[in-house]
Amino acid sequence: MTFDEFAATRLNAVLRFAVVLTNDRGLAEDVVQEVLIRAHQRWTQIAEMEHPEAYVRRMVVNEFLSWRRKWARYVPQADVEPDTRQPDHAEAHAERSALLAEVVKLPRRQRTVLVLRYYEGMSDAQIADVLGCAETTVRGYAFRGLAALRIELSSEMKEAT
Amino acid sequence: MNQPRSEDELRAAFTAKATEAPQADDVLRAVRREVYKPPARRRWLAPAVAAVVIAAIGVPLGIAVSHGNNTSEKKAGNAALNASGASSGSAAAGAGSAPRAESSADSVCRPGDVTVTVRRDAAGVATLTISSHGTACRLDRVPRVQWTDNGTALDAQPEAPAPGPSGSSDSSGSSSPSSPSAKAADQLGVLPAGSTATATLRWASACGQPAGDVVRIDWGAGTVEAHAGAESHRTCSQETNPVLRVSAFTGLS
Repeated sequence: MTFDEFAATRLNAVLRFAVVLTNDRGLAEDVVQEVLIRAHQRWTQIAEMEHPEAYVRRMVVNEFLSWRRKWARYVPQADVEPDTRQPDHAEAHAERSALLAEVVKLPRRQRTVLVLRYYEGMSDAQIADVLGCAETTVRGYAFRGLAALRIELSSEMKEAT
Repeated sequence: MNQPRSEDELRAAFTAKATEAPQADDVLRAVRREVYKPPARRRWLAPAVAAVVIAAIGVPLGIAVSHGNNTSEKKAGNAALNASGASSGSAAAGAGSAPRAESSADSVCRPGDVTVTVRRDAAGVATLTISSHGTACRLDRVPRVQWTDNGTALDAQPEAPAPGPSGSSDSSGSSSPSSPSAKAADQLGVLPAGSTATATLRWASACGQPAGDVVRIDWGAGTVEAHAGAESHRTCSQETNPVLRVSAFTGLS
């Protein structure tokens, strides 16, 4: 897979993941741009990997986790959009916004674990691989993050945890 | 407000947020602009910065070193002048321009190795003095001298053949011009380190001393110009055959 082929087929997915992770459209754009520039420089090695997209996604996570250091001067702009939804959706929309606002307040690693688990649908083992830590650590991050968001685990999850 | 939420709500929130993602084309365009940027700017930037840094450090350093050399040479030259009693009309063309570390008793003295003075007295006799700055080097035993008088350059003729290494000059009186090309070993004498060699310039003329004060001397390392001090007043304007004679250096070994 060439870099251009990757960009044409997988970049949108990576961008969506970055937006959910950062909760900021501008920051997501900057993070992905940085990652793609670095990835392009050694694309021959990345292309030989079994899952180039997973590797790029991991690069995005690492870039995001270091963003406080690298992007210290970055002041996220409020992403306020006119609410064009129907009145019957307004309550759900407000609740979603409130939930995302609370997610943003979580420590970065907890937030990353929740995004990887609930948006990307990764298992704890896969998350542990991306973050380079133990599965128990991932479960700890998830537990504390969900508790802070007052999210009740499903019975399956309770058993797994 | 404090009602517990479900995992599905979190999934839905994330999915809704994902719809706000920017267009891939915009990001890709920015990436391509960055990736395919012509590297020419960066290619010359590093050498240019390096050159500026080298110049910023090297030039002042070179000037400082050169200034230090000149100062020490001047001090050495002045000391030699004081020792020989010469006090005026000194010139040392090219002084300080040649590294003296390479000089040795086997090589011809370069202008930077010595101080050259010409001093004339009222009787029409001028004394050519060459003082070593501290390194032994070689001189022609009889230097070639040219003195300009009223716009005419007059070559000096040797008073006597070059003396041997003993330093004594043969005063038999034969006056053949010194050969500028052939330079046998016995034609060169060694000017010991820190010492002074002198030669006499006699102006045999019915009209007194030459009007000009520029004297060009060549002891084997090219022409060096010196000034003989205050210009004299000639007693007649034209002269048919003025003769300038130069003696062999004394003080060479």
